[in-house]
Amino acid sequence: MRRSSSENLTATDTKRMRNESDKAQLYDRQLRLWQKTGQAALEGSRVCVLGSSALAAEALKNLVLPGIGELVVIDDARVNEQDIKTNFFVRPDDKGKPRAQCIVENLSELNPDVRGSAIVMAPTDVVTASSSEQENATILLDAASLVIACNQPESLVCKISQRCWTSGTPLIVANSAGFLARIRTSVAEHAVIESHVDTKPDLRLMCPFPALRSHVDSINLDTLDSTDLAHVPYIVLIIKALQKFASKHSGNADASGWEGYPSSLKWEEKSELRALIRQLATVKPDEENFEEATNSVMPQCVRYEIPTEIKVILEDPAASVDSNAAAVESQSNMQQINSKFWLLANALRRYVESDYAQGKLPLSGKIPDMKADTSGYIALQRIYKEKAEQDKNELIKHVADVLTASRLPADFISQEEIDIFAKNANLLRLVRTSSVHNEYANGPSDLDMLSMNELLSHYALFRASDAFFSKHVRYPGAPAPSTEQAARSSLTAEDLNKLVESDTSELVGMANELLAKWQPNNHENGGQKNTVSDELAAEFARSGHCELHNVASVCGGVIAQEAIKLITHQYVPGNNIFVFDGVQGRLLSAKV
Amino acid sequence: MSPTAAVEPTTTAALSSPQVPCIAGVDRYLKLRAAHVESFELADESGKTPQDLLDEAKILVIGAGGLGCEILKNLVMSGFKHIDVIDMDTIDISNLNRQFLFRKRDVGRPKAEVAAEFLRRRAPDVNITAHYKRIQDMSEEFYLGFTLIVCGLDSIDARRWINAFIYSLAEQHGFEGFKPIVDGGTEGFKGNVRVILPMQNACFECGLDLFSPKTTYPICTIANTPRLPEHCIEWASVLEWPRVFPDKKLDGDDPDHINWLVDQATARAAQFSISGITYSLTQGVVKNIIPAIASTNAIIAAVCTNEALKLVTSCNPYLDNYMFYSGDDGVYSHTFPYAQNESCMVCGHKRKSMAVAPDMALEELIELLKEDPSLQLKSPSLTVDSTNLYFQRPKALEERTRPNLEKKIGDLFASGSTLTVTDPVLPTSLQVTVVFA
Repeated sequence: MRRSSSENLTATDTKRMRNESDKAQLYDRQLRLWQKTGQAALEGSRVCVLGSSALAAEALKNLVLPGIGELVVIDDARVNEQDIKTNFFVRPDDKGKPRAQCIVENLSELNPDVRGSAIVMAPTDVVTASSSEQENATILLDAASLVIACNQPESLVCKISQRCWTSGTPLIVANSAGFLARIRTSVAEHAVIESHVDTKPDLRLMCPFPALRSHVDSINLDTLDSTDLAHVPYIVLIIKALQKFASKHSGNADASGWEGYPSSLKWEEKSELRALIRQLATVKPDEENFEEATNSVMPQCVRYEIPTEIKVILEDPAASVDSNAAAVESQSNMQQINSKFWLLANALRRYVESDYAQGKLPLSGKIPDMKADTSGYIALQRIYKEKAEQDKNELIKHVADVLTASRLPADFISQEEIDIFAKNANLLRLVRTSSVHNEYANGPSDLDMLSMNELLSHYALFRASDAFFSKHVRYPGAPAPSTEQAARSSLTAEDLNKLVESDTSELVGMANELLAKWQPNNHENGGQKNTVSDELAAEFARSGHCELHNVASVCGGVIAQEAIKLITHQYVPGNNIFVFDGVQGRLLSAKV
Repeated sequence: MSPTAAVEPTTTAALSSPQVPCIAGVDRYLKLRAAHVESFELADESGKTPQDLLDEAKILVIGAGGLGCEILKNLVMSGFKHIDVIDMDTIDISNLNRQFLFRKRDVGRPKAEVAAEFLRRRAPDVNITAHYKRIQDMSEEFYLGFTLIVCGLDSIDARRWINAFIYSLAEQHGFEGFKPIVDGGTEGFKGNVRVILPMQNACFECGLDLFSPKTTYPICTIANTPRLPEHCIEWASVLEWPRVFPDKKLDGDDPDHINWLVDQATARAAQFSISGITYSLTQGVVKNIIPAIASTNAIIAAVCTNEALKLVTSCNPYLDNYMFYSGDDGVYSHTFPYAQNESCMVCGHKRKSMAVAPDMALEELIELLKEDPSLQLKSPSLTVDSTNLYFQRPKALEERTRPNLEKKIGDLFASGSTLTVTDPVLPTSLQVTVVFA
């Protein structure tokens, strides 16, 4: 790198800079997705994992590589033959060693910047603190940015879920059964400012602001030669055509077109507008910019409306109440993200309701690339940017008001934070999932959605497998863990075949009972009775709830993507259950 | 990193003892009955068990990068015993955020070799062979030796080439049961997997229009009307670099080269009041960098190897035939049978017809062939009735045929002529019929 004044730098500065540039290179391919801010959030995070099987190790691999700050693995399992076959992050000579330690050691090799530790303790002991070690583990759990529970029994997951829900910590629960796997995310509230969602640009064509109007007025299409006409940006062409539309419909052809300028168009009026655009092309109507203009009529010439997702946020009670300064200031960095979001949403609501904004969001200031000459495009870009800047400055006043009302310091939210918020006001997202412990206690909230999205059988069978475990202390198709070692290793394929068969029918019965319980009116209403698929139940019992590496790895990928979204507060986490069916090669999702 | 000392409870009673498992993991799917799975048999007609099929399968992994590292790991952990891996690349520092078989000390070494070394240490009983080669360098016999091919490539061109090449082999040797290709690709939070059974379902080329062609900027925009920082970077790399350094090839990994481009592009941007030129953007444009993360690679690679395991052992049905995954806005995925394209240039009737004006220059026709979304050619060479219309290489032939570029096609061949088109992205030639409109 070129550093013109390198002689003035101290040795520490140089080292820090080199580290920064090393990191920029190392993380280049992910920084392009979540930038420095997302990376800083990852590096400041602590992920706590219950379980150390292949599922846990695969998820952690995908978090260690991009550089999370710290990982803690809690498990008391010891490495056995099967682990060596299934879990890549234990080694052939690790047999008999604590598995949590082994995976932490091997995962640590992948990224020297990540701190890792293993707590050799039964996950069930974490929530029943009775010794000082257990208390330490409980503290670690409470201080985590995110908790992941891999292949843990339902009873423990319930307790962990209650704990995480109270502290506001996001939780991911994953279970696998051979070719089948279930992932559930749960977070009481998760605000996203930089959602990166793909929406059409906000160009205000149906409600041009004054600076845009005078810019369009300053361009006289009639005086342009064919080359210049082919370089007029489509934004200008559409507004010009809308002016013509207005004067035509007001019956006064000489009018400027600002009087009666339409704020929305009916279907047939859109065709009319397209014809008006083509009429503007006095020479060659097939130029690229005219084509862009006619193609943009459908998506862009609609009434300005605040997107539904944003309306829901602005109408939420949390966007109307002043915060409690003491409570907000004592929060962790992670928790403060949501609090700051609501302070900003409160300011945004006031902004939208103000005379200045007249029901519109602050402009993002971004315009897409379009066929144009340099000066025409840059001029337009500047006009949108300046309007965005004005809108932001107006928003800043409301932020100051909200902070004062909440008795928070004026710099509690930085200018940069307001800047990012204003630029993304059109793309905000809010995710609130149901809690796992409520779901377990009351059944899924939306049985129809499960059925419609083709994962009702999967869901019922996973829950029935949990119930089977609670009853028999073993999963369907698997021999009891208490079986003597000698007896276990002498179990033949035929013994297991018989076990699988008898467990399949018990599992089907249990799953159908659950379905009946969740939908008590199943029979009476004469509606179609939901039952689970026998074949799928046979596949569950066939698995014996063993882990397959491929399935663990698919889930590890999904878990890590969700974890990264939850930690960085960028992109939109799924809400809230995902099933990988490796038999069919499908990944299904729904809300429970 | 140094793992901090593990906290061990003082009492050992809390530890469950290491268990000797009975039949578990993949073995359950090889040894247990499964009446509900139609395809599954405990022994086939020749008496081979699923275990035999797994033990004997020879798998070729193409690519040892982000997907490749995952694919190799997954195959080893699925119980495959014979694996070959081919990759022409060496390790770069920017690979280490996802290519977990490589360490900082490995930078500069061939990916295939380092990956194979790592896996041999982890699984000494698996037979892994590395090839530090281009896919085009290997013989037909080499490819014929495998049971199944898993592709983990980022380059669309390489994926097209291998797809077309395997089809040409299948054509010679009979399509019945010819080796399947499992192909994976990722970009950011998104990815896709397809299972290709030659002539039984859609091939890679059938779905070519699923990929939007690489973003290119028209030369006139770059030269005359730049609007974006990207236009200024393209100007610096495509026009200025060859003008100033006619004998030096631009290296996107050389910081001095990129810095030179940054300076040039920044000056040009200032001249046009454009802002936003950075080192990262410049390198991204020059190298056409696609964002890549470990988690997406993990999902896509594992779906691929899950299919490989099922295809080889028949323990469960295979994916029919295309899966798409997107994790940037919620978790969205869709699996569906992508239809075979009748006019596919690889597995369909392989004929393309174009209606064009006879006064079009040959050069314009070549541009049309490059822009066509169903062809997406890179540098096509054309012949008609054994007359060379235009050849991109070798140099002597290019010079000899170059004068044709400006000629009207109506003066070069008759309406309804069938041109033979060759291109480096395809191992075989295409037939394009040109009708004058």
